[in-house]
Amino acid sequence: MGNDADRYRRFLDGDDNGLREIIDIYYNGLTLYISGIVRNASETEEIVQDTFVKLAVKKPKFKGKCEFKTWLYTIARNSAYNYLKRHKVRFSDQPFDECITLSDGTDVEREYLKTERNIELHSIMKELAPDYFQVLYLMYFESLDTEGIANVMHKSKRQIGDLLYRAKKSLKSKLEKAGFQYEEF
Amino acid sequence: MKNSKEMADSVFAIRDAYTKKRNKRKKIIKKTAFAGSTVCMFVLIFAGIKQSMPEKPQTPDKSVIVDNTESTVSAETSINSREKHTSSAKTTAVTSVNTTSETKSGTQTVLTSKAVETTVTDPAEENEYTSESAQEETEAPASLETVTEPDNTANTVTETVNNTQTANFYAKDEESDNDNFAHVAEESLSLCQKYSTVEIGSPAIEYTSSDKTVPADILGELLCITDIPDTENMHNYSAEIYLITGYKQNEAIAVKFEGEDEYYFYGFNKLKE
Repeated sequence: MGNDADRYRRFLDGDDNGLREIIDIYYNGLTLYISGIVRNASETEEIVQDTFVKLAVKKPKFKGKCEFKTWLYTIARNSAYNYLKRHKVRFSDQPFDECITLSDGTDVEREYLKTERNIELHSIMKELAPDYFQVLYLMYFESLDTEGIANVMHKSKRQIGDLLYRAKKSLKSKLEKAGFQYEEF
Repeated sequence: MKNSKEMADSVFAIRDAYTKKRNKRKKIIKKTAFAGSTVCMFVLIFAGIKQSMPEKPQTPDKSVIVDNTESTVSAETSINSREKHTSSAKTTAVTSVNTTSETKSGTQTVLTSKAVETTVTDPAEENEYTSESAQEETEAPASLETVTEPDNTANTVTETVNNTQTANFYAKDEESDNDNFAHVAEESLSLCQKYSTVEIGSPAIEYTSSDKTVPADILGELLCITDIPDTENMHNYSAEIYLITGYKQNEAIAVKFEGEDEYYFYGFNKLKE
C-alpha cells in the first residue's frame, strides 16, 4: 500500500504515470464499489472519473493517516453522495447489470472479481441495502478492516460492527433464498 | 464502460482542459487587475490634484464697478477730532413707495407718493426725487404723512413701481478708527463713506460701502427710497436703493444719495437675525 502513496507522490511531483498506475490499479474496484451506491453504469463511470479528476486537478495532499486505499475510497464515496445530492437520485431505473455488460463488452465484474463465486456473491450483495452492500464489499472484496471501513463510511467502529452484523444476517437470508449456503462464502 | 487506460486518458484530458482554462483566466485576471489598478491610480491622482487646487471663488463680474478707494484714503487722513462720532447715528426710515405715473389727456402727469412711516417731515425734500425721476410737471401732496389715493380716471398707466423695503443707514463709527488715522473733517467725507452700512429687509441684510461706484446702465429694479436724517447738520438726505444687474439682492446693492450723481456699490456684509 505504501507503493500507492509513492505513486501518488510521484504524480504530485509532476510524473503523470504515477496517477496512471493508480487509475489502473483502482479503477475496477472503485467502479464496483460505486455501482453499489448509485446502481447506474454511466453514473458510476462519471463518479469514478470525477474521483480521479479530483486527484489530477486539485491534487489533495495524502497525509498518511490511513491507507491510501481507504483515503481513495473515501474520496470516491463522497463524490458519489455529492453526485446523488446534486441530482437527487438515489437509485436508477436502469439495472446495473444490464448497463455494465452493454457498453463495450468489458465485464468489470469478471475482470475484477475473477472467480465465479465472487461474482455470484457480488450479484446477491447488490440486492441488499446500500449501506449493507458497502460494508460487505469493503470487507470481502477490498479487505479493509473495521477501522478502514469506518473511515470510508464516516462512521464509528461500533456502528460499523453493528452494520456488519445486520448486513451479514441480511446476506445470509438472501443467499439461502437463492439456494446457497452462507457458510460456503 | 471504459477500461482503465481510457479512463486515465479521459482524466488527463479533463485535467489539461481545466489547466488551460485556469491559465487563461489567470491571464485575464492579471490584465484586468493591471488595467483596473492603472485606472484607480489615475483616479486617485486626479482626485488628489483636484483637491490640492484652490477653489475658484464664485464672484460675479466686477469689471464694471469703479474703485474710488484712492480718493477716500486722502480724505481719511484729514479727519478732525472735533467732529468724531462717539456713537453710530442710527436713522430709521421705513418707506413704502407707491408711485403711479399717469397721463391725462396726453399732457399732464400726476405723481402720487405714499409714505407709510418716516421720520422726515420736509415735503419738499421728499418730493424732489419724484420730480427728478419723472422729468415731468408734478403735483406733489403737501405732506408725506398724507396718503393720497391714485386717480383712477387716468387713460394710460405708463409705469408702476410697488416695492416695500425697510432700510436703515448707519453712520461710520469714527471712534474705532481714531487710533490709526488722523481726524477727518466731516465735510470732506462723502455720504457713502459717512453712511458705510445699510440694513435692508427683514431678516435684515447688512451691506457695507466699498467706495466703488456703479454705472447707471447696469442698475436694476428700484428697491426703495429712504431718508436719512442728519441730526448734526439739520439736513435730511434721500437715498435711492437699487438692485444691480448681475447681482442678487443678497449680494450687492447700489445706493444713490440725494445731491450726488454716483451710484455707490454696497456689498453684502452679513445677515442679521
